This record gives sequence, structure tokens and C-alpha cells, in this order.
Amino acid sequence: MKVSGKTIQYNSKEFKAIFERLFPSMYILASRILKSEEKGKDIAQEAFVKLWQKDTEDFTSEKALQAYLYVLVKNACISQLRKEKKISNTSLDEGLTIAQKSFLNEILREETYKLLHNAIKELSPQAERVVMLTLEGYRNQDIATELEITINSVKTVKKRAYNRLRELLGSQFVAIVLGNFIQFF
Amino acid sequence: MEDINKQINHSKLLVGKVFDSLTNEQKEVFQEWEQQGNNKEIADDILNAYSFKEWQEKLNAIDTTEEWASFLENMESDSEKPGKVLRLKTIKWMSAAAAVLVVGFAVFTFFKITNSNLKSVEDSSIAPGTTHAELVLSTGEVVDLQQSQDSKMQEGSVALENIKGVLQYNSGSSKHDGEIKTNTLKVPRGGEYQIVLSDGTKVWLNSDTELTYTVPFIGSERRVALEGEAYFDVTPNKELPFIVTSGNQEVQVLGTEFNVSAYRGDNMITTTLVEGKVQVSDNVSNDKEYLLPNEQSVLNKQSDNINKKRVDVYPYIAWKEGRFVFNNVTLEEFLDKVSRWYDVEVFYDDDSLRKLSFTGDLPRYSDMTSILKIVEAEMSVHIDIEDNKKIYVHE
Repeated sequence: MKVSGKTIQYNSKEFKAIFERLFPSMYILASRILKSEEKGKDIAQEAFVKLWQKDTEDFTSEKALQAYLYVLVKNACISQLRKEKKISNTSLDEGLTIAQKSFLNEILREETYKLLHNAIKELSPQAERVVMLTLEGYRNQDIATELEITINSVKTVKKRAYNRLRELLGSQFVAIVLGNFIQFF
Repeated sequence: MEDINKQINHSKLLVGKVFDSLTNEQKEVFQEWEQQGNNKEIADDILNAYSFKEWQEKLNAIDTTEEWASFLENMESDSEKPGKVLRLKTIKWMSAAAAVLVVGFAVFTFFKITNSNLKSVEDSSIAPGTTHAELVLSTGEVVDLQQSQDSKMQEGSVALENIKGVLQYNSGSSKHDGEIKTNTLKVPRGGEYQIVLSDGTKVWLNSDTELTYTVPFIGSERRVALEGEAYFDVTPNKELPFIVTSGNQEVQVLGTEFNVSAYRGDNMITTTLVEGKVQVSDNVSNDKEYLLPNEQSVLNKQSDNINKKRVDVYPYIAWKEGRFVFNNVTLEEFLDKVSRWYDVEVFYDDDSLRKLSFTGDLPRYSDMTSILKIVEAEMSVHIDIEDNKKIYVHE
């Protein structure tokens, strides 16, 4: 398999790094769609095996490989839902549209949480509190009051976290290229 | 593929929003995206501290070293016999799922009735519950309690007042005349009520709930019996333990805040601790657990076993704060809870619908149709309503 122009083997150090970055979101996503961690784990594992069944696959970037994995996971989840539905004898097409729609939403969730997680993990506990309070719906002024800091400190913390994320992901905030060896997970 | 790449880009906008760091151009793109379909609700649902924390917990629980080892193992056996190992693993849970679905199908066929009286969610209106209850006094007299009607009563030596939806027992006289007086506060489906007991303990009663207690408390303990769901804020008193009994379960506390859900129709009793420390025991099996804050016990009524786990307490107590908060529960669990408050019945066309996963943080004091609209949009199901009382969910 080629990723970003580089040929890699399934049991290589390079692929292990990709696996460690991408496996968790595939697993969490499939578990949530199928409402079972066991099923989710099987489907995520299966997707990584299927990735290697086409020997000639050439991915321009890790991002492209990730999108392909999402497609594999999606198809496996749909076929799983279809199997479960077959038993209860109902129409298949409806189920497919449900899965398609919620799938894209769940991908958005995974990608957003991965970014937030990466932004937070190198921050101070206080900066983490700022992010969590923001997610709890607090305005900057309320966060400042709650943490007994100035509103400017709140703004600075946010800016710094975002800038750190940009650094992690490259200045353009674009594709994560394997060659750069960015710890994205 | 393209949709997926788009979503990956949208995630950057969502994160930029959290950090107040979107450029004006990005803000425009984001606002445009939010206006499409139910994207705004989806974004709000994702940017939610509770569900992010849960995701982090899941992430931390994954052992990537172990997963990498099984991947290598799968690859090796895959090259010998494609797919075999993976299928073996999946058979176990597939047959379990099959059993559930077969039973479900029988029930579904039984319930499928043709009905011409159905209306869409848009054309219906289901008002939320209100603050009302019935108080059964020791004489057997039943008093209707409403938020709008204040009243004063006397139970033996204890005076009680009903003011603005709170029933309050006064602690003034601690003597009692030797006779045990028992009162019951009954909250029907579609109701909720708050009570302050003679020791100052506050109890919030959810819909379809009964609380029974003596007036005043007697002996060396403060004992109440609960059926349904209630949130307790117990006044500390080391001399007099406060005990909540529900079926075979006893929760014993000295002073603390916790939620107990013990509906007759449910096959478990769930106790969630917010503050302090409580002891949960089962008086048949003598199984016993101590709970600390953010811990929850689940008592299985069939086996009388108690299991303890750590939880985020908010979804379990949000009802008291006027919200319905559910994180990754089945549609059935969600609608079961909600239907007690709106006093409606829910029917499913197909059992697979019951199992759909639902996550949401929704207001409790608005028309039920606003909740049902979100369910329709988020889960791609259709809902019909009969006489504003019966809810039919189909694909």
C-alpha cells in the first residue's frame, strides 16, 4: 500500500502509527451506530483488514486513507443493520438512509472531538476548564467569573489552544501528511 | 467520500467556534452550513460537555496496543482463510440479537392496528405536565394539591402548608401523641411535586411517583417508602439515619443528595449519588454497596444483585432542573421517560425502532411536539399522533 507516495507494509512501524491514530474513532463511531462496543470493535478491526485486501491501493495522504476507512466502516455498519433488519422482515431502503445520515453526523462528532482532545491535551488544567465550560454553554464573562480570572485571560487561553492546534495540524490547517509525522492521536 | 471530507472540514469550523477563532469568512461559511437542515441542532449536540467527556472516557478505555496485536493476528489468519476469524467472533452476538428480534416481531404484529385518526406532529399539540399531586392523609382523606391553590392543614400535632407547588411539613412541634400517622403523596403521570418533610429534607417527585412517610418521623430513624422517581436533598442528622425503601432496596444516608428511580414496571432500581455517601442494600440477598459522589448503583429486581458504576450524574438529575438529558440511550428508554411526563402512550411499528440510539438535551416545559420534531429529524423516523394521546413511531 502507498500512503503519500511511500510504500508501507501492514506490519510496519509506519502503519502501526496510522492504526493508533485512526482505530479509536472507527471503533467509537461503529459502537455508537450499532449500540454495542463488541460489534463496534469487530467492525473497526475488520475495516483495517479490508484496507489491505486491495494491494494496489494508493492513498495520496493519511486523510484520504482515513476517509476510505470511514467508508469501509459505514458499509459494514449498514450491512450489519441490514442483517438485523432482515430478521424482523422490514424494508431495507429506509434503514439505509437513516444510517447514511446519522453516519455523516457521527463522523463530524468524531472529527470534532479528536480536534478538541488534541487541543486540550497539552494545555494546563485551567485551560482545559475553559474549554469544558465553553462546551457547557458558558459565555466568556461567566467563565472568567467562575474561574476568577479576567475575561482577557479566557480569550487568550482560547486563542492559544487554537493556535497550538494549527501548529499540530500544519499551518494551513489541512491534510495530515504522514511524512510530517504529526502526532494526531 | 466527498461528503466525508466535507464533514472533516466542518469539524474544524466547529472547533474554531469553540475557541472564538473563526475568521469572518469562516463565520459566514459556518452560518450558512448551520442553516441547512438540522445542522444547528447537530452542532449543539456535538458541542456538549457531557457527550465530549463521555467520548474522552471511551477513548481512554481503548487499549491500542492490544488492538494492534489483534489486528496483526487478524491479518495473519486472514491470509490463510479470508474472513474466518472475524465471522466466528460475530456469531455470538448475532444470534443474541436474532432472539431479541424474533420476540420483538411477534409483539409488533400483535400491536399493529390500522387507524384513520392519525395526525402528523405538526398538526398536534401535547402540553407538558404540571405541578399537581394528591395527598392522602392518615384519616384516608384525599387532598388535591395544585400549584395555584395554597392551603393549610393539620396532621396530628404537625402543621402542613401547601404553598406554590411545595408541600411543607413544619418541624415546630417535635412531640407526637403516640399515634403513628402515615401520609402518602401521590404524583400522577403528567405531574410533579416538591415536598419538605418535617426534618427539613427536600424531595422532588417526578411523574407517576408515590412517597409514603410518617408524620412526624418516629423512633431512631427517618424512613420513607418510594415508588417511582425522586430526588432527595436530605438534612444532615447523624443521630437519625434517613432511609428510603423501594421494593427490596434500602438506601441509608446521614445527609446527602441523591436520585432514586424505582418504577414498578422497570426491572431495576437505579440510585445515583450527587453528594455525600449512601449505603444501598437489598434486604433479600443482603447485597450491599456504598456509593460515593458520581457513583450509581443498579439493583436487578430479578436477581436482587446490586452493581455499582461511575457515571456523569447530570442526565439522571436533569429532570429536576427542567431538562430531559439522555446520552446514547435507546429510543424506547427515552420515550418511556418522556411519556410519563406528557402522559401519552407510545407504539412502535417495528421493534428495531426501539433500539435506535438517542442523545439529546431537551426542555421539559415545552410542548411534546417540539421534542418529537427533533426525534423525527435526527433519527429519520416518522411519527403520527392520535388524539394528542397516542404516539406511533414508524420508519
